[in-house]
Amino acid sequence: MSDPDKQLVEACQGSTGEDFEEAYRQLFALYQDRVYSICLRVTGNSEDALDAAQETMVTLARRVQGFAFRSRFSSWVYRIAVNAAIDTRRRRLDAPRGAVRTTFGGGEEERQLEQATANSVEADPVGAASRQEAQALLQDALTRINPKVSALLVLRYVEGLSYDQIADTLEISLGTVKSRLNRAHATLREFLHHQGLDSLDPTP
Amino acid sequence: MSTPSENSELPQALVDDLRALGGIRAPEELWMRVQEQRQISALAELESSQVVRAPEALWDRVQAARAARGEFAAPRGRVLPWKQLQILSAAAAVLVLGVIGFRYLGEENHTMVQPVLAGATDAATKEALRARALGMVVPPEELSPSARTVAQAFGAALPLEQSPKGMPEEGR
Repeated sequence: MSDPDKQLVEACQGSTGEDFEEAYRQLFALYQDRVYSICLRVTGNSEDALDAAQETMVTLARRVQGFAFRSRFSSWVYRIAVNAAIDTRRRRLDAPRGAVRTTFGGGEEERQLEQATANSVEADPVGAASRQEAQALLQDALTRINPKVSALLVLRYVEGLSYDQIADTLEISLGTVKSRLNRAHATLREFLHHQGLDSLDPTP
Repeated sequence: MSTPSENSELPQALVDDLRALGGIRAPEELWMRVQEQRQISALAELESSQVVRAPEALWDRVQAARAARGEFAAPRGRVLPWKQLQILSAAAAVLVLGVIGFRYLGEENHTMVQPVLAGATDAATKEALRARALGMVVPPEELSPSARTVAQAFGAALPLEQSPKGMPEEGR
């Protein structure tokens, strides 16, 4: 299977100086939103997401020359982003208590959420408020459960990756992806149930 | 992307809410931060590849500056550079070890005289060997009065000299 990013990656690999910078800028533009989105959903706040996304993109610039296409380039980028986000979240949890921001719902995040859902809900203000609340609660859930589990859910549902792509990204087998996702679903449902948020999960 | 069968594990409403969490745009700040970090990394690599050794005079200058600030009493002589101090310390250590070794070997040579004398059977051979020795044992009674004084000054415990018969003892 041909990698859709092959041409751009090879442009980076075959160049130096200004030419490299130009090719890298295109790669950056292609991946910045996806990387930031993963980091934001796994870390739960924009400050940590920016740190993790920065780390990811710097790593990408440093290591793209050595990328050997053993996996899809996008999977490689997602893998770096997931690891950076998980590490950042762990560092934050290890930090002094006053510095911990585990809950979602700061001004910037609210604004971003509103922007993300504005197009689909403009005709129904009541429904829009309800959806925003549901999304904030879901983000809170993603931030509180195990970061590896939340990363899996983010890749699967927020970024819409297939099982194959997740297996490629996390370098695990397809069977492991299925079993881990089953556990992730159970964890999310259990969390929502404990928080009294059964309305988000209408399964009887 | 996802096939319909893969989406069946969670209720559709929940999946929709999760999907709605996507579509976030990265802030403009990200590009600036990444470029800044790359420049810092490049500079750090450049610095580590060009390690510069400080001149030896630096030690002298720092010590002189500290002394000028009164951090410690200024040395009266010239402050030796660290390398010279190391050489002098090594020389002193060699000297001390040399003295100890010389004394030890001297002890060895002194004790070696006795077996040589023990091996000599006749008196003439013993005398000849004694004549070649650097020092010899003299019984206390054969020492002259001045030699006794010198020996006692060096801490030798000598028996009291017998007064000649018929002479009154001092203090009586």
